[in-house]
Amino acid sequence: MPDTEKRRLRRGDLLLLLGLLAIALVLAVLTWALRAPGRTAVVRVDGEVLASFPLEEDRTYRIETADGGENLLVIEDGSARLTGANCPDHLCVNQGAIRYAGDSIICLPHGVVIEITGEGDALDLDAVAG
Amino acid sequence: MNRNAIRARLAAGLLALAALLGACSYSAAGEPADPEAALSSDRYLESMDTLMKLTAYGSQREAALDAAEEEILRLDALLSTGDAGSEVSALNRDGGGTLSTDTLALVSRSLELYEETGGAFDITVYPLMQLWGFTDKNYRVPTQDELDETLAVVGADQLALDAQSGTLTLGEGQAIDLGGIAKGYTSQRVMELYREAGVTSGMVSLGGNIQCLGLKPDGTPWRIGIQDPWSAEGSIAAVVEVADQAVVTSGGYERYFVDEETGITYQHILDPATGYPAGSGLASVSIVSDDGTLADGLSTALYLLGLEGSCDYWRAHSSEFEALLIDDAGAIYVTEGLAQSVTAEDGFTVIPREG
Repeated sequence: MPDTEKRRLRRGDLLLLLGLLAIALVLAVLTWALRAPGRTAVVRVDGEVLASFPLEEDRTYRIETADGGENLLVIEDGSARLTGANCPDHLCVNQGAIRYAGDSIICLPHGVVIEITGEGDALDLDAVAG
Repeated sequence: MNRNAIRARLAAGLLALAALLGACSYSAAGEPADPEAALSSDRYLESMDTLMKLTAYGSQREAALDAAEEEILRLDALLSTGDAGSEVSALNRDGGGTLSTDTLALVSRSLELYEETGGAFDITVYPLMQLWGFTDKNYRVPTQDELDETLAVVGADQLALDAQSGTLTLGEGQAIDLGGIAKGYTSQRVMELYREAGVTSGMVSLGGNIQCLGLKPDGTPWRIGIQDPWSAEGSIAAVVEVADQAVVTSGGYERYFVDEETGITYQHILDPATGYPAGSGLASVSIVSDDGTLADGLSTALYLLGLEGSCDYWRAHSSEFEALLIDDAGAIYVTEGLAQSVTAEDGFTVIPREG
């Protein structure tokens, strides 16, 4: 009968759909569980960790040190840089942006160090020449 | 076999394993392994107009860093052109003088490099750097008359060095700047001080001039990124893996100014032959060598020599260094001996020994 034929097909479709959905779900869970840990910008003042931020999220953060030092940290498009500071030489601003684990920006007058950390990252570096 | 026999064998086996592990903790030299081998300390300082990061591993790390910091400050006080009290400033003011051990070593090396690179590496370009304003950031484009006048006093062949007495005599109106080689010399000295202090693993970055001692404590090579000349976002063009070597990069992107009237960009590596910024078609040159001083001097010289000139120079000196060159179009060229140690996302061309 044509009706039963239609019905059987529908059930088959449904099973197929459920099967695909289950596979997709398993894959999604696996990808999430096995995802590479992202890179993090760690902010240190005089050696003490003040804050740390994932590089995936854009943000602006004002670093204030005990002796009145101010640096503006901007995280954007997966990289971190200092855009403003009230230090005398602005060497920290001139260092540009960093994005790979192992790279760092230093503001010596304020004792501020921004360092990128991240594990299992194929691009981890010990230093950047340039 | 009864249970006791099995236990006895098991115990003997475990003892043997323990003995083996104990033996393994002694290094090849028969010295007890450093229990702090994997511990590191970082030191940051500002010297030679740049930011420096010093890293040392092992139980002697703090002593090594103290010695290194002291040496860096000593060399800066000796070699700085910006410090009126430095030895180099006195030489420029007096038209020469008797050189200290370090300055003599640097000047001798600079004159060798001047000869070998056909004048591309020249410590007498300092008056040209002043003319363009690169020494005090008062940038301006000089007239041809000014350039000609200044070019007359540029040329290390006008310097007279008496190696016996260690006396240097400058030509009339000449001034020297050892900045093109001083950081490499300094990183080389830091490696020596690390070794003397008993450190076997460490690194320095003197404003992007890198030199590494040994391998990392985990036995893997140091991974050094080569900065992408066009990226302001901290991107890198390639990664080089090294051990016991210096990696020094020079490029016009490091320092330049844009002329407001014409919109033309002028970069800081000046050609001692023309007085103008280098226009050799290269965007950056990275030198890898176990000699930090050589790496520093050659990074500037090869940048001026261009791709062809650099290939020729390397083929004549391939036992002394390796190089990674990036041209103005972004193509990467790597000398044969370094090819196995380089990874670059978009690939690279190998420069063969036989060209």
